[in-house]
Amino acid sequence: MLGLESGISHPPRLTPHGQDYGGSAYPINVSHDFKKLFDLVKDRTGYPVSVTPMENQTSHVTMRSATRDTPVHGIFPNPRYERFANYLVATQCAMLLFKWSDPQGVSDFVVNDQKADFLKRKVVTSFQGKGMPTSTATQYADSLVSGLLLQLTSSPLEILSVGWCFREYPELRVEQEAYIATHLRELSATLAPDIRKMTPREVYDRAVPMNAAYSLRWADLSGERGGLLPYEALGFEKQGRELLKALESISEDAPDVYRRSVDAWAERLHLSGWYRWSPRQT
Amino acid sequence: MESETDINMEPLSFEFTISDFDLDLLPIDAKLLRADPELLQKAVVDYLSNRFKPLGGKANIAVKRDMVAVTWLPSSLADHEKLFDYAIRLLQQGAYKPAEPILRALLRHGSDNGTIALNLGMMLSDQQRLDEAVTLLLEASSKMPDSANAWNALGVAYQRQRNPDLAIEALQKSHDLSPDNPYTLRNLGALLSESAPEVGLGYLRRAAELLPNDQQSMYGYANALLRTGDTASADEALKKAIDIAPFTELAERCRQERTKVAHVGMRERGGEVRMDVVMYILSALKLFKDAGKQKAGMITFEVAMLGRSGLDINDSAQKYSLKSLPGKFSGLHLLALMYTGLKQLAPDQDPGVDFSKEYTQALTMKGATE
Repeated sequence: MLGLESGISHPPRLTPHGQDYGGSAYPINVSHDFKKLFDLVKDRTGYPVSVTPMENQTSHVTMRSATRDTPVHGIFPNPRYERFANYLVATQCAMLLFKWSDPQGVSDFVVNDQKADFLKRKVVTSFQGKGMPTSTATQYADSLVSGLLLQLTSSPLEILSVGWCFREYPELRVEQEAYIATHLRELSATLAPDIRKMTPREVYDRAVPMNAAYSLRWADLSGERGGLLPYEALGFEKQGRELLKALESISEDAPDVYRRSVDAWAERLHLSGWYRWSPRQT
Repeated sequence: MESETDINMEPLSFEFTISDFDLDLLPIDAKLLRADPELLQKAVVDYLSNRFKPLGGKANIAVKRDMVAVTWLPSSLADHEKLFDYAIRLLQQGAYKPAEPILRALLRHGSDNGTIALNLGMMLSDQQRLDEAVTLLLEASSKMPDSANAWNALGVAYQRQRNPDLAIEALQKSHDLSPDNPYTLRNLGALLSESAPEVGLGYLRRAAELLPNDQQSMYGYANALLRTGDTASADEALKKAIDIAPFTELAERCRQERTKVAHVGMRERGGEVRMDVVMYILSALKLFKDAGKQKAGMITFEVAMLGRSGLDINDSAQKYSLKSLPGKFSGLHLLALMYTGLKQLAPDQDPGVDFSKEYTQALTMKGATE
C-alpha cells in the first residue's frame, strides 16, 4: 500500500459538487462506535466482548463465546479481511445475541460421533474408489463432514445476523454489501464442476442448499440477485428457499431461536440425530 | 451553474471487453464464471443493470461475443452527475477497471470542469500509470487553478515519479491556496519529515487536528512525534489512532508501537532488570503451580484480553481487577502474570513484551528456594 508506507496519498475523490467523501483514496477504515453494541452483549450475556485480530486463520473471523473458565467473548477478525472488520464484529455480536437469547439456557452443539464417523467412512470409501490415497481421503473426509456440521450450526445464525445488521446498522451497509459480495463469491466456488464431481452427494446436496439460502436471504434484503444466478442455473434455489422459509417461520425474539433454527434445518437436511444439545454452565 | 439546456444530452456510450471486467465486483467465483461464458454474461449484465437503474435515464447493456456495450441516455443533468458519483464509488472500492471506461466516456463527453480529469488522474497515479496521470492532473490543475486538491494530487503523482522538487512545489502551492487542507498538510508533512522531522511535525500535527477521524493521519503524526523523541505525546496519538478504527492492520501496528514505547519507558524508569517484575513473576509461578494449568490458562487469557485495550505499565496504581483472580493489580503486575502464563502454557506465542531477564532471574530464585 503506497499511501500507508510513504505517508503520501491522494486527497479524497471529488464529485462535481466538490463534496468530500471523507477518508483517503486507500482502503477505507470505517470507524464505528461499538460501545453500545458491546454493552448490549454484556447486558444480555453477563460477559464483555474483546476483539483481537488473528492472523493465520482460514475464516474471515473466529468467535469464542464466553464460558465460566474464559469469562470473555473473544472475537478474532482475520486481518486479511480488515476492510470488513466492522461488519464482521457486528455480525459476531449479533450471533452472540441470538445464541444467548436466553442467557440461562445457552446450549452447545455436540456432534454425534457415531453418525459422523459413519459418514466419514462412507466418504473415505468413495474417495478411495476415485483413486485417492487412504491418508488423504481420511483427512479430506474428516474436513468435509466436520465442515458440513459446522455449517449446520453456524449458517442459520449467520443468516439471522445478516438481517439483523441490515436492520440495526444501516451505517454499515456499504461494508455489508462489499463483504457479502466477497462471501457469496467464495461460497459459489463450491459450485465448480470439479468440486461438484469430487464431493460425495451426502455432503454436497446438504451444504449447497444452505449456501443458496444465504444467497436468497441477501437477494431478498438487498434486491441484488447476482449471487443467486449459479444456484438458479444448477437448480438449488428451491431447496434454499425451503430452508429460508423454515428459518423465517421462527420468531427472532424466541429465547431458543438458535436451537430451533438449527433443528429446523437439520430436519430438512436429514441431519436430525447427528448432534445433541448440551446445556452450558454460564 | 449550467442550465439543463446547456448540457450535452447525447447518449453516453462506452464498451469494454468482458475479460477486462473486474470479476471481483461480482458475487460469483471467478473460476466458475470463466468456465461458463453464459453465466459470466448474465452476471455482468445483471451487475451493470443494477448499477444503472438508480441513475435514472435509460440504459441499454448488450453483450456481443466478448464485448460489453453500454449506451445510456440521461434524462437530466442530475442523472449525469449520478453516473459520475457512481464512478467515484467504484474508485473508492478500488474497482478501477469498470470505473475507467466510465470516466473516459464522461471526459470525452466534453463537459468536464476539471473534476473528471482529477479523479481519473488520481486513479492512474494509484495504478502507477504516472505519465498519463501527471498529464491529466496538470490539466485538472490548469482547469481548476484554485483547487488545493488538484495541486495536492499533482504533488503526489510527482512524488511517485520520484520528482521530489516538483512534488514539494505542487504541494506547497496547494498549501498556499488552502493552508488548512488536511490532506495537503499530511502529504507535505510526511515528505518534509523525512529530512526535517521538526518541520514535518508541525504540518502533521495540524493534519491530525483537522482529520481527527483519519487513522492514517493520526498514525503519521504519532510517528513524527516518536522521531522527535516526544514519546508521551506519541503514545497519546497512537491511542487515538487505535480508537478511530480498532480492528485494522494499522491499529495493530499502533498497539505494537505502544508496547514498544511503554517498554522503553519501563526500562528507563527501572533499569536493566526490574526487581518488581521479578517478584511478580515469582508469585505468578507459585500461583500457577498451586492453581493448576486450567486456572493458569483462564488468568492468562483474561489478562491478554484485558491488555487489548492497553495496560498502563508505567503507573504503579492498582487499578485493574480480574474475574478469574481476586484482588486489585497494577498494569505491570498483570503483564508479568500474562508473561509467566504464556511462557508456561504457550511458549511460542509472542507476549509483546520482553521480560526474559526478569523471568530467568525469577526461575533462578525459585530454584534456590526449593
